[in-house]
Amino acid sequence: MVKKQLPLLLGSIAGILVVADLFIPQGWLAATSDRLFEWGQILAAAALVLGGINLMQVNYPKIRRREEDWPYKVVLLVSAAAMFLVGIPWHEIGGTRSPGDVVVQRGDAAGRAMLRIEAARPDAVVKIDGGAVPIDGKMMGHASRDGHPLEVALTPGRHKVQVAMTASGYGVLDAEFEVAAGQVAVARAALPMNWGKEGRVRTWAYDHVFSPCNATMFALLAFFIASAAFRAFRARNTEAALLLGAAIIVLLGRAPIGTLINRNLPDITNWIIDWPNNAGRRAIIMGAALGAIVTGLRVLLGMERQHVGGE
Amino acid sequence: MRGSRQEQITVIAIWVAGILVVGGAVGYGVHHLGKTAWFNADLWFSAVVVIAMAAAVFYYIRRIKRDPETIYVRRIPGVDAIEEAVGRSTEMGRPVLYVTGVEETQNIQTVASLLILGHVAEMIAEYDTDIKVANAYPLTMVLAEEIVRQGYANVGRSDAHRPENVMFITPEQFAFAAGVNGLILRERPATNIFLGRFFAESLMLAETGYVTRAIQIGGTAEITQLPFFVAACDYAILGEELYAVSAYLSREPQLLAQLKSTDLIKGLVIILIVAGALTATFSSLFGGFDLATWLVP
Repeated sequence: MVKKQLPLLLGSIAGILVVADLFIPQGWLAATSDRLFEWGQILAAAALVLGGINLMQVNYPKIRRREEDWPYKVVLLVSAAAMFLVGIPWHEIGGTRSPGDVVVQRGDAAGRAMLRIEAARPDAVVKIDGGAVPIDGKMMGHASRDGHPLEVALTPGRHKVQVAMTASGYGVLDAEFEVAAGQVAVARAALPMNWGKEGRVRTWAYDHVFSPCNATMFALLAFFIASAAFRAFRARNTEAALLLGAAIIVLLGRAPIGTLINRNLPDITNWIIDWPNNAGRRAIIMGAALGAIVTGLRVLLGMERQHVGGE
Repeated sequence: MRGSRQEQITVIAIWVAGILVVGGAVGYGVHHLGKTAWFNADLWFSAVVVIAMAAAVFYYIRRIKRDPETIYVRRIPGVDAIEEAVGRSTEMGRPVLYVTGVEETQNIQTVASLLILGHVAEMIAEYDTDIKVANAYPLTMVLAEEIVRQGYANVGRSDAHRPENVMFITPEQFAFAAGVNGLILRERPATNIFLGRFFAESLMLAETGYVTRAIQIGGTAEITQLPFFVAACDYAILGEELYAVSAYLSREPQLLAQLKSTDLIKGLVIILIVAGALTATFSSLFGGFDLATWLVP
């Protein structure tokens, strides 16, 4: 009773509350609904731990038994562990390091108001007053010139300076200061390297290892489409012949050569896509939407029990 | 048993809870928050559709229970093929691969896929073959594992269930495609079942399955991916059929009532489309009442 009926009852109450929130614009209902979604996210986060355990359970025994392609599983586990480690915000442990500060000193003999950038990383870039004060005629410039700190003359008054690395994953100095004539504002930018989700190592690994692999997989899609189209467009019966005919017209109508063959081909293509194709699409979308509503209803009302073991 | 007293009490308890929640919200709104709206009037038609569907489901449940012979459910070849494909896997001594899509559990297509997984797991356990379930999200994996475990338990084969057969791959779309493709090429499943929400990886999975000569059943309500499944799979489960599979496989009155109520509402939608097209035409020519604007302000 408790094992099956209680989850059904709890699920139904939670589901009905969320649906009611859609139709009843009351603050407490919206807050309850938001809270339920938060609980869902906590559950998903807890499941991530189980996901990690599952990854070990599935792959480690195969490595131990030296099953087919076991070296790939070593790569998988090592990569997962490495990304997990670099994904931890180590730099926040024991307090966050300051990205730097601005101190105003007496200094300029010529009586000007100056800004000097002392960046720990010479390839950092500087923007003053959001780019309003040009550096070498541009909105932003490098923090170092031939090994010397960048110095820029300012009008006396309040200013804002941003010092950052062009690569992501480092701290950013973003400070306001007031400088008078004859004073030098020194921006000391430490720009510490960050770890964690937005950290340097994780971003580098994602951009330089994962993204190219991802793009490679996506690029393979063109070949998969070609081989699937070759099979699908064989005129085995009337319907397949119609499909083949429509596909040829649409392919030619979308390519520049189509206009050369016949000026009207793009218009015919558009007609096929806007009318017969759209009618079919909308029919499927409407049917799917109704099916989705009823599936939701039957889970909410406890009629569907496969997710709690059926029967 | 579905018609048992315990089950009736549960359904009544759920309805009472629902009525209490909605009634409480309305009552609270009327008595304490009278100055604020208690019903989003812009969504009145959506509310009518949901209530009409719930009413239709209950009407058909009563009718089907009274006279089960009167209900006609058209065949869905893709669903009929599932048992045949599981049998083929058993004969070949190779596993069945089930992919629950690349969406999270709150997506209704993933929910539909997990519901179907329960039936497939029971078939797998009965045929004493092996199933590999690939999931893109850890929470989906946890649910799928529990569903498969229950499926085995329902046919008295709990001992045959291997938890490591339900796998979490990765939520990254193409990494997931690469992982599942590797699984297909290494394990050579005799049957691949792709049910749920898919995007560009649908064709990658189905084409790799074609290379291994597996029987493939693909189903999604994602309109852009349907042509890929139609082209590359042996059987395709199109759009709303995905939501009907669980009812179709169970053959239970409560779930079959869902199919009939969908058909009823579909009939009403067709009438509304015709009426909407006519009123929109007359409205644009002569001005006046427009059904679409009235229904969805």
